[in-house]
Amino acid sequence: MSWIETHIPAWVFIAFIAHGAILGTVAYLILLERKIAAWTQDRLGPNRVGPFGLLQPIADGLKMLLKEDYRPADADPRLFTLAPALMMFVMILSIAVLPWGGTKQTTRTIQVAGTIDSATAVAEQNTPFGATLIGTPIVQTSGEDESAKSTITYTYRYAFQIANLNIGVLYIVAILSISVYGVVVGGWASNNKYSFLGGLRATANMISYEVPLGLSILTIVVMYGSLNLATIVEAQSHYWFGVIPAWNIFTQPLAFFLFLTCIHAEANRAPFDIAEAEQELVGGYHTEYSAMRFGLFFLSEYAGMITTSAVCVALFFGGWHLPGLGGNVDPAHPSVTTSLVVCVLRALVFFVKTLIIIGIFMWVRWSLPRFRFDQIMNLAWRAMIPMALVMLLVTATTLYLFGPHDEAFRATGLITWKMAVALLIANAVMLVIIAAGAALLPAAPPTNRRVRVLGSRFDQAPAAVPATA
Amino acid sequence: MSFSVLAQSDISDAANTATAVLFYLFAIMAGGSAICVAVSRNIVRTAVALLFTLTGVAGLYFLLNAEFLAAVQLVVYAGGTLILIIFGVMLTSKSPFSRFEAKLGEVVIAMSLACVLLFALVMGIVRTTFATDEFPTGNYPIDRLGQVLLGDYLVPFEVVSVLLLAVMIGAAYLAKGRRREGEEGAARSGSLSRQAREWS
Amino acid sequence: MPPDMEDAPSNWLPVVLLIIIGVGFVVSNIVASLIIGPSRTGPGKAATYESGMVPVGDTRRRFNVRFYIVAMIFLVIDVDIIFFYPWATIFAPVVRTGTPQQGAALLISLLIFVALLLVAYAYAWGKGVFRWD
Repeated sequence: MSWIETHIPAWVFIAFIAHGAILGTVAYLILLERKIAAWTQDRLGPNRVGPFGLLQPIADGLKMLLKEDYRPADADPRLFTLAPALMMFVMILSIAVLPWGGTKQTTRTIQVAGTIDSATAVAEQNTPFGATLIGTPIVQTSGEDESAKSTITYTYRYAFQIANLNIGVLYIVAILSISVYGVVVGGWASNNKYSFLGGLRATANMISYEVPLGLSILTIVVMYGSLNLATIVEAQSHYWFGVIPAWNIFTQPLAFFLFLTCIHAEANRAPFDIAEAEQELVGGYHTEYSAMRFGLFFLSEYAGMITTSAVCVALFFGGWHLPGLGGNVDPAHPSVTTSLVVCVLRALVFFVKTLIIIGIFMWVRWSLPRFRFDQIMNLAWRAMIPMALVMLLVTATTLYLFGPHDEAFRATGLITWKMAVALLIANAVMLVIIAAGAALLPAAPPTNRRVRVLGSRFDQAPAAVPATA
Repeated sequence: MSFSVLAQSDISDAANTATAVLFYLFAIMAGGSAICVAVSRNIVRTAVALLFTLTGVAGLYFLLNAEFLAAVQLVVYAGGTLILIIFGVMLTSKSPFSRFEAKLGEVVIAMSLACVLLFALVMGIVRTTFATDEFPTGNYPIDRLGQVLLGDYLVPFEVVSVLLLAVMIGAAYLAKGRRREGEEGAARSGSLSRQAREWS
Repeated sequence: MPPDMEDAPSNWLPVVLLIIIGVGFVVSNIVASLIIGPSRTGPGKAATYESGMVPVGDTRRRFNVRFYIVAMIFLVIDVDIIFFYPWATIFAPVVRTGTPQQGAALLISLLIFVALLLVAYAYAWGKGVFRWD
């Protein structure tokens, strides 16, 4: 056990477990999605394969593998395969910086023959790659020259996540901005009109909502001055008045709603599913895909949903934070714990919170009708981007006005209840201003034009149309 | 003491080997797909190959611990500029499948220009003495970048915003400048004409 | 996350591990599906799917310019937002530990930046860039 701990860093296990867990969850999310769709529409849903249809994902997966992976004659052969592969690859890569379980601290004791010059050097040699040595190692030497033995006790910490990168959440934004190519290249390579239109629409949709997505992330980043998701989560793991957890949902509710809307749009799901509007575009950008290449598109949609929901949990719902899961080392840093069990429990809590956000995704998908292209674009460019910009300014101004007068904030950098109230009031004021401003701004022009297609109900004799129209 | 595989003791060896391997991988990825960009005759494939060139360069930045620069490379170049290029390519060329058949004269001119550039680059690399000892290692947090950007380089930072203002106005003019309200209304009542001819 | 952890040098080997996992997963799945699945073709099957009709015309033709306009405006704002990131990481520490003047200077530098962006945004709005017809 100790050999494994020293020689195989924890992130190797976390990477494989997180990858496997996400793929397994994706398979069952598809079943859950179908069940929720069925319940919404007063049906039963899949219930033939196994009890309650629980083996359905396995059947689906086998079907993906066993069906024919067909490529139309007119499609671009290389790009046709590259598109789904790229999309899935990007989604696998994007889970790297999710903060599953705070910081793990380990104290170890090793025995070395002979006396040693530098205890720190020996301790560093026996620290897993990626972990940071804490403090100075303690050395105890026993015995004489020939039979001398040194006992070194040292402590190291590592982040209980796959990678601890400086750019943190910006890494996820950067990686997800590549996922657009899977859609647009797949749509183009299919050489199908439906696919092409679906790809174009999805691209316009995704890039438009990347802007408010980045701005609402910045609203949280500016409060803590860190891009590191683990730091942002730790900063939320304290309480106001001893009971209310200091989650950002309470300080930045508007940012949360903007973020939630953006991740819906990024996932190309209803009500933002103009890319695969069945009634118009058959299957959208994956009309021509079949078997595993289609499967990769399908899996990547759900994997992307998990990643973005996890980021949402880390930013707004305190990540792994839940009463009882605090650290046992340093009260100022509740993320540090010496217990592996606590780390695993935190990862589970994080995952359950993520699943709840995904539940919102499914609820929304089966409740709301699809938006039109111009409605989606208006929402992004006329409403959400200006709102997010103003929200960033308001947050910064509130911090500037109240921060210097708040001793606790100055000392620790944590958001105190006074600042939380100030931010909440700022949010409310902004909401009022937006509501007032929306009434003052000119309405979007009606773009739902009645094209007089021959034989349609708008194709009436010219006399029936008023001359002034 | 036990033999360590991935412990800190071998951080210099293992990480250096990994860095070297990754450097060559990313360099081959960037260079190889750059050759694809130049050689490929299908214009959309060219644009997709450019994606891999940009990503390879981002990987190189990543290896140099310039993570913010790598993220900017991905967000702005790979995620923004290239989308514009791909749309432009799809929009302007009437049939992107129509192949470029370069004339002999064009090939000769391009090759000679490339040779001159290659010669200049090789000479530059050969004649420069690189300070290998002072290779920057370690950690460059983004807040240090922020301190420098908003401290010593505050004026350029604000000038950038003026530049972006100009760019945005230019883009808005390009997008809608030529069409005046009246014409737009006329085009709108003309219903079928424009819409029916273009995919939307 | 304690400061000693946050300032630790970035460890990019995990990302390399994920790259290996990702490439392995994607390639093995596609190859397995191509090998296991049947392969039967024919003229009707190889045709582009157009709801069962004989395909009309070519896909490779001009499309609505509005998609290009979205990409163009997006690019400008994307570059703008990238400049906010370094600013956002230093604002809170400066407000906490710096003098009020330093905080005010930072806030004003952002205000100028955003004000110019909003001017550009208003111009584009007035020009009708955000009319999706």
